Amino acid sequence: MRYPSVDILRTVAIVVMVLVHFSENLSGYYLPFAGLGAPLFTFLSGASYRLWLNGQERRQVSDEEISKISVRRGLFVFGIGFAFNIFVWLPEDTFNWDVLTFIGAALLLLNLVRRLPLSVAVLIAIMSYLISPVLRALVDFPAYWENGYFECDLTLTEVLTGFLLTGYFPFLPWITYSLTGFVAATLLFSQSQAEKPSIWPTAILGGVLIVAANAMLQLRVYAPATITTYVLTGWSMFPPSMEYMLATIGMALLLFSLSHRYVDQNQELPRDWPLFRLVKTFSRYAFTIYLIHHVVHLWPLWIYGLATGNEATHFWQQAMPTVYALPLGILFLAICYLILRRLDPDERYGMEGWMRWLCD
Amino acid sequence: MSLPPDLVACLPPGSVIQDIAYTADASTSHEVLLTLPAPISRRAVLLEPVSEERGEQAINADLTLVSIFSEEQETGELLTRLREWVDTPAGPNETPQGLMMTLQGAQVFWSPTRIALIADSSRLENVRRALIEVTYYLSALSAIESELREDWPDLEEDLPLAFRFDERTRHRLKVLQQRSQRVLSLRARLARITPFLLCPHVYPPTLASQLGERLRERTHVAQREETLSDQLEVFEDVYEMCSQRSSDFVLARTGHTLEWFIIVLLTVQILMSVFDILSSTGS
Repeated sequence: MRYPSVDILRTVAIVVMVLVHFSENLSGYYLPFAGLGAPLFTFLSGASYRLWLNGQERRQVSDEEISKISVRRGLFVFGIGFAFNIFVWLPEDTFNWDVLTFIGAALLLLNLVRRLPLSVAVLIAIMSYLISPVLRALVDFPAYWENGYFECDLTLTEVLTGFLLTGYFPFLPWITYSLTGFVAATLLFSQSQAEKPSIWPTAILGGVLIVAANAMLQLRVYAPATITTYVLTGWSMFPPSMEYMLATIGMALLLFSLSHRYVDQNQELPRDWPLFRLVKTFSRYAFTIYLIHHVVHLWPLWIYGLATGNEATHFWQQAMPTVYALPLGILFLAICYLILRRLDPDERYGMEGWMRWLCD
Repeated sequence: MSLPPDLVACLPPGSVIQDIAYTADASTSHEVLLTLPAPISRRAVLLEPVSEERGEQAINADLTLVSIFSEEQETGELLTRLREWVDTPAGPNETPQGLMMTLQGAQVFWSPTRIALIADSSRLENVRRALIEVTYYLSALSAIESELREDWPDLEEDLPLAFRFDERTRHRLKVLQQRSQRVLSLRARLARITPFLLCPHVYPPTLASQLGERLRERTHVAQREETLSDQLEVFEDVYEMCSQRSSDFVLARTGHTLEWFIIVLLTVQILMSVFDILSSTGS
């Protein structure tokens, strides 16, 4: 069963990421909403897994079969993540631990967590949030980000540390987002479709987390240096600071709850509303769009760099001003929509289609 | 509940039409015709048109009873009309269940919601009371049968849970609890009326007691009670197993949760040690 609220949020996440990446990679300009797309995307990966599980369980698919599909899907996304790093970010960035490798690993963990009581998932999410700053301090996180981007030696220790802690989207603490999405979807989308659990506990929790994050940002000024160095490190996505995480988890919870209440449960909204068609199109192909938008704007950059006798990455973040980069991102989204609309809505194409063909 | 006007017109003088309700309300202001013995704790009350000034809540009649003195000259047409009235189902979904009994000059046309009684004036009151009482027990029995009949699909749906209860079916715990309680409630209701349904014949017999006994015989009370009891046993067995499985699951789940909490905390500790070692190895 498709929920328009999930489609809307996934569309928001993918649109934000496309615009942010076009702006960052082509012009080096960080949009004000940079850093909001990925948390929503990873949160929705957990929520979508729960909704997919509900569908499988309603169809009486056996537990073993669900595990097999989940593991295959996790490995598929993990593998595509590596291919993406090699072909899009070039081979030296194979182990930069981008969001796809994270989502693949998260799917594998969610497959384990789905059989455990929900409180265990909550505990893992909280512990992941709490211990990450400590572990980052232990492994000397800044040493991996000396030039403003992640770099590591190709040793097992550093590669493993990158995957778990210091990469772009390390397992800790980003797994907190997937687990929160999984827990929120379990609470809001009952397995029995007749039940309509209240959205307010999760919505209020989301609001409280945003307020708490704001308070932490304000209190930072008065905190001693040890705290500001290791705990209240300010608004930062790389590494995800405690304030950033609280705020973005709160945002995701709030948006997820409210959109479920005012979109899914709103009987007055017609299901064939044009906006729903639009978001459904983007949502169904979010994975493909995520891959293609990188190819579309990074490959020309690499080719042009090589063609002009420079390093491939020579024009990265300095290819054009933002006034050109942003419209290009919007143009890409428009073309994407027009092409995807022409495809048969009952068929699956792109990466999603391959994943189903291979894993289901 | 009222009689058709043409039937009312046929009734001989002195005939009494009574709308009767069975109520558990001990403080009712209606005239109490009969108090059913413990543990039934219900009263058969005579309903009258309720005026709004009295502020009393209107009660729907469970039974309409027409009493006619046999000393009055009843006609064949009256009997036919009474029988037709009694046989007419009370609702569109109900089937006719009319019975006719004749004993020692008394005639009874009976259905669960309508009774026409023709008897000698000296015996009329006792017979009426006996019929009101037995009718209550029979209606209660029918109600239990009807409710249980509707529960069969639920039972079939719950059957797998008697064997296995897990995380997937956890959301059905509340429903299962409600259904289990419902079965127990049906069993309790049946247990309450069974002594009156299966009571031995009264000695020395009276017209009233004999009519009650005959009515129980004609409605196959003993077989129905036995069947119902057997069916309830099936329900109880299934829900007892479901209850056992779900209870085991909930208990085990609590234990597992605690174990997992410890595992997660140990993992955190191990992670910290591992990163400590990794960082020292790296340096």
